[in-house]
Amino acid sequence: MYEPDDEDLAAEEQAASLKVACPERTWEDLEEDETGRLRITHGDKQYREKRRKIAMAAANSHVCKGMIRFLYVVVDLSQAVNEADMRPSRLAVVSGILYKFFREYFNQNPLSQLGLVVTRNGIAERLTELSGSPESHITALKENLEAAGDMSIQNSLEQVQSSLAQLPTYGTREVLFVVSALSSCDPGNVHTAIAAAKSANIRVSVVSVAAELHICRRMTEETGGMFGVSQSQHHLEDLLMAHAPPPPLNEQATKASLVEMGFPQKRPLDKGAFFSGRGGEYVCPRCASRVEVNPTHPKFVENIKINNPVTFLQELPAQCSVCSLTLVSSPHLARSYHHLFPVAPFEVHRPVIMQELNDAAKLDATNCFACNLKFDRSGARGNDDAPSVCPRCKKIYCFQCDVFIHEKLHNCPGCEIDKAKGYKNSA
Amino acid sequence: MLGVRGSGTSSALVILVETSIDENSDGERMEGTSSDDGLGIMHTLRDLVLFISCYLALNLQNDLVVLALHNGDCHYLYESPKSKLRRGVRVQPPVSDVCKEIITRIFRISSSPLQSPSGDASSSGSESPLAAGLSMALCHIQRLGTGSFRGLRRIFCLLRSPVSQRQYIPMMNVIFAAQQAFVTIDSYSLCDMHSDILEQAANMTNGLHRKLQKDGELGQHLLTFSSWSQTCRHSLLPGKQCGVDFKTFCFCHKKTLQRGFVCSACLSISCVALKTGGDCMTCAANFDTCS
Repeated sequence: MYEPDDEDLAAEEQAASLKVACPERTWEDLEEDETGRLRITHGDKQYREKRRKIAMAAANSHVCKGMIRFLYVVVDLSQAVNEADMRPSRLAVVSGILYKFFREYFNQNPLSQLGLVVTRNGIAERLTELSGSPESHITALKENLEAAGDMSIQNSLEQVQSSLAQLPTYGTREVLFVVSALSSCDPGNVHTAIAAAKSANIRVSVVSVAAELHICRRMTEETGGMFGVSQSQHHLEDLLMAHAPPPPLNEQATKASLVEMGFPQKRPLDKGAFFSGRGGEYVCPRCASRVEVNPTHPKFVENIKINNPVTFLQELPAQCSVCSLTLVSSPHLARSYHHLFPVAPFEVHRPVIMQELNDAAKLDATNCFACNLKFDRSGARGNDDAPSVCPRCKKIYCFQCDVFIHEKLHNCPGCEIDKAKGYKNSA
Repeated sequence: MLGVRGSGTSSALVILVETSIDENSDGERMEGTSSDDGLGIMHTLRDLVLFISCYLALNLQNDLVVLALHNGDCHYLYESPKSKLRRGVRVQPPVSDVCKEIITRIFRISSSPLQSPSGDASSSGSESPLAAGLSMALCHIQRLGTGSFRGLRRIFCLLRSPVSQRQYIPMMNVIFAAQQAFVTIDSYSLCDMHSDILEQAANMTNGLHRKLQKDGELGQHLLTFSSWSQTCRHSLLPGKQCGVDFKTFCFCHKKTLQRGFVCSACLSISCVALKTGGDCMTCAANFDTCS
């Protein structure tokens, strides 16, 4: 089922060219300890970084999040993106990361929408309107990758604001700039555009590929967004991907409210149905009209089939064309429930804890509870297999499973077993 | 069919089998009154062993993991050896040894006393921790994926008791993780109750779900449908499969809904619109205005 597609191959090529450019970044493994000696920390940094990420995510889990987002991504396509300080070029790197970002964004924010704006030659073009399908944005960006002229912050902001200002208040309004240029070409005063964005409750964030610009920093500070300058290709990816999880809810800007939604069932059309020429397969639960959902371009359908076997996820969410009720399916909502019921971060497993366990548990403790990997007692394999322990169920996991459980799975197997024991069989 | 496209493409299969013995029904079946309906634990195991030997015989590179859901716990029964490599080709133990090991482990688990001190009375009647079992299976597959393994990966569940709605959220988490990792979830339920959640899992991961009731069906089904690899699934017709019912339940009363109110901060569903100024029951966000 898994077949490497063009993007995979492109990514591999990119990695290969990077290897040629800088064979090994050996100096990054060196670290100075308290006594001033140099130590080789093999992969230690990554390990600590991952632990820190999990802990951060857990600390933020109690914050109310804005789950419904309207985000415009503004891509700077000025001449500066042709620089080759990232290999093969800034443009190739940025666009590659953006494709990933679009997919990840819709994975994490199933009911949110995204639009795409590019700025070049001093003007801003809106490539796609706000919509819910990642593939349409990816195709649009792929077809418009010619870079020329200068970027314009003011034009982009005005372009975006005209669309964001009409949206309902329960969603967060966001703009994400991916900036490579070191200057902005504006027809008037940028500061008025920033003030207008602020008054429209738009949160502007900037990821800069090259260097910090005063105007960008100022813009993010005024509107409460995030600002980041990338140090390397990996760092750039981290910075962009940090915008995929939903941001904390801004109580003043967005008002939480109950939104009425419909959960339609799919019904195959009767052969003799009157509207068989037009209507879709879903029936709106409020006005009982047949709904034609997102009539997708045949090109996207082909794309979806390859990249995402689950086509129904592309059909919904949609709006009823008659009564404009939002139609969603229950798996869409379920995608975000792990924010509500997060897995507690695991603690580092130490031999001290080992002695507290009883004999039966000690036997279990030699293998990872989830993947059944045998722990290497000598610890020669390094941090990759360092055991962690769940504070609730006291089961022991290897570090790889720890990361997988917190970042992808969002279930602790041990805790799920304990929970299931409480459920009496109703049958 | 199980990844026999040349020796380069191996596949990984995790089998989850429920082995708890339900005294009420299985006791009768084992004693003979209804033993020929083919749903007793012994029949299930016999058919499973047949399937496993078929799977291992098809390609020596195939990976196999067997997990048992037993009296509310989850145990590893068998795992293909990893380290024994000879000229890049893994040496698998003979199929008969594999099956023997699985059967002895099952008997050891079912004869050992229950481990949890409080669980003696409760855990035998509790629900199977399907979500936990699937999570463990995914963790294992994830570890395979970190190496150079790029073959087909599947999870196969053989369930003998129903799964309730209370496992809905962990089950959905498992399904999404499987979807992202391109892992297929196939399932057979051998009980009278319909299992919505497994049907959804099969639908969303491109798998198959079957409910079996008649005698002797399992062996035949396993050897035909379950041996299909992902690549040939597109060209074969798996028989009639009805539309999947994605039911939606509200958080407050667990009612099935066609139309409901969703909190914009946490996306929890409620069946009634709260009055102006109320709080969300799940995340305590304050609603100033109701739409």
